[in-house]
Amino acid sequence: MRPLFALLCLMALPLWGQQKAPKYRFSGHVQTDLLLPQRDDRIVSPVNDEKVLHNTYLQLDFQSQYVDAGLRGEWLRTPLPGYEAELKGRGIPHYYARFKYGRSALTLGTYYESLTNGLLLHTFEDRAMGIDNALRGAHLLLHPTEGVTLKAMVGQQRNYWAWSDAWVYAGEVSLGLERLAPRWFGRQPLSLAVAWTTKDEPLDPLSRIVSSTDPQGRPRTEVQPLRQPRRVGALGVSLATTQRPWQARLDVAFKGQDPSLDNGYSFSRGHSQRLSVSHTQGGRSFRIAAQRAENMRFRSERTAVGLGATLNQLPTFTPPPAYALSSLYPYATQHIPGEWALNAEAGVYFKPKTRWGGTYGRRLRLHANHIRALDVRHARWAMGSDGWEARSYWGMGEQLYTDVQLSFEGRLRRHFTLQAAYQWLDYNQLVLQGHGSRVRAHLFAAEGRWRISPKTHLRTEAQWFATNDDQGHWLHGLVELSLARRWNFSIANQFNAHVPKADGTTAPTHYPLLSASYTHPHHRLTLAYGRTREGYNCTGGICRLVPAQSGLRLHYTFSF
Amino acid sequence: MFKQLFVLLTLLVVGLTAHAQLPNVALSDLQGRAVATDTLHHGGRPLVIAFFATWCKPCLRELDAIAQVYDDWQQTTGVRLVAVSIDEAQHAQAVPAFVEAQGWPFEVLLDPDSAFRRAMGVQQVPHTFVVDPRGRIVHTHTGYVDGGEDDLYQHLLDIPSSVQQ
Repeated sequence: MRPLFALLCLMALPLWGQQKAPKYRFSGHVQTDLLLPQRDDRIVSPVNDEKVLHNTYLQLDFQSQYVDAGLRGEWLRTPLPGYEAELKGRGIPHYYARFKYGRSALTLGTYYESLTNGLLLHTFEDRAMGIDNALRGAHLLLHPTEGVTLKAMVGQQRNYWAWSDAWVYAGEVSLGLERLAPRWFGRQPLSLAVAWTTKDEPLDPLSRIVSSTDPQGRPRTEVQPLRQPRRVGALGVSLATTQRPWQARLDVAFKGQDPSLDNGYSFSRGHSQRLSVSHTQGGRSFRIAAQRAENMRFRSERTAVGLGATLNQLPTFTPPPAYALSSLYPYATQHIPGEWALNAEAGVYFKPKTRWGGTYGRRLRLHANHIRALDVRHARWAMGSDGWEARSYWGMGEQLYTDVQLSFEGRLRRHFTLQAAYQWLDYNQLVLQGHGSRVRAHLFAAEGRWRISPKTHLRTEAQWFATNDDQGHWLHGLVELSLARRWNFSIANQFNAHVPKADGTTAPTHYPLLSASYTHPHHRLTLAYGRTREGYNCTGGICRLVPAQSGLRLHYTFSF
Repeated sequence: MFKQLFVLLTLLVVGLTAHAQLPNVALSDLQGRAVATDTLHHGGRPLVIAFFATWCKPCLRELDAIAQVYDDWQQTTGVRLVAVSIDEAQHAQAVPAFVEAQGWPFEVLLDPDSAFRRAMGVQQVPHTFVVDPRGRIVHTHTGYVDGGEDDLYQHLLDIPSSVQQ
């Protein structure tokens, strides 16, 4: 340890007072999210004996012309509420060394990658969700010539604090056709990528009950081992082009038979198609997109549940919630049997000093999302069977989610900016949250920002989620004061008249939250005290239920 | 061991924070053309790299605030601002349409695999870097407080004119 320490010190010293850019760089950050929970009889929250709950991370990276290296330490022995129990622990789960030459690189250790827009492989880290599904092994990136990119990788997947027994092999060939053959394909961007992913997983001791009749015609049942494929493969193709002012992208993916706990150990194959077309010109844009996904959940462990061991990701078509109350009823991608998702967006920027743009410019946006289940036969199926059967490729089942959003933003005066939004929502709570029924609602939101002086700004928010379903109406208000370009002070409150209590009754409940934060180029510290409601934290089509909480919160980051 | 680690970290932080070069990662612009990040600083101008996401409201506030004064910044400092979107997968395909309706006067690049984000050590957005014409990272900050763009402008002015071309 001492020789290493001395070596690293020596490496650090020459960088004092250097005028030329050095050939290497150290960087990193520290992050901690901490909660001191307090007992609160107005909310239903998990019982916790710990006085302090925290998630803490330390990341260190080294970069040079030919070699990069880094590691990350995580301390989650007493994690924040709502994280999966399997996340409890501490250690150094992320470590890598990367050897570079030109634009090619070989990485040994843990790495992240995305293939076919995430349909085949999507490994990433998301601390708010408690997800880190990195692969550990080797990753090779090659650029043999202009317009050609080759990737090949092998590894085992991180599954909380362990590594999956399965080996994952993946690769991609990506071609920039307009650079390879401009005479044939023209000079507008046109790319083609073909990717594959294979997992090689040891068999699990799984059995299934098979019903039959004996030679005398009497019914009988017997237990048989479940036949499992050791290797499961997936193939994906992506085609993207820009023909100004149009852009289009098509992603198609196929997955072989992959009996797993997710799909009830059925032998149906998976496939997904996603098409996006957009037009952008002169400050105006519109875009339409459609996706059909069937049985495309792909994990490195067939018996995994929750957020663990996911190899790919099917992101939701719904945009991330822009307002606090629009996250009340979030959408999570329905993998089994699948879904049809349709999306349309339009936006316009009215330039300053025009009739609609006023003095400073204004924006108008419209979003619409419509998601339905697949129309399938056999709502239940036996282990080892072919599972469900879609009545037709174009068939759509029950509605899952529909919303239309209209938003406006404009600087109305020299020191005042207004944002206003309206959303209509039709939400199938029974399917998406496992309880309740349909929730139909209107969301009205408005945000005003005042520039009182160059160093003093005031921001206010008011939101009303109007519905007669589920818990009924919600209100949200916030006032935030920014001072000296460093300090933020805010007070917020949410209110609902029918919040469930531990004894099964409901009661009107306020959720007040006081917050103060300090921002420095390298440091950011936020302290908050109050109560937050139960809700969902979602990213990329995956949601995590966060229980109601009460107490003092601290968030600190240090980046260098 | 912890004492040694603390001393080491202190040395590294104090000695190294302002001196670094851009990593070499392949991004794409809004038309799908490849852009190599290690060439962004070429052109002899100060460079601002602002990581953002379309769902990040402080990010959009910061970029809107800079958009209003960008012409003035360019006349005074010659700065080039590149906004890098970390939106992933299907949301990355919505970025060109989103940006068109924002009316921003600066460039936007796409980092849907978060490769550049990881290479730059960005964990949260908004995260902004100031790069001098020699390719050295001279300032970085995370988060945005209203009015913070004025501090960013001051860092641009602090870049010596002998370095700027």
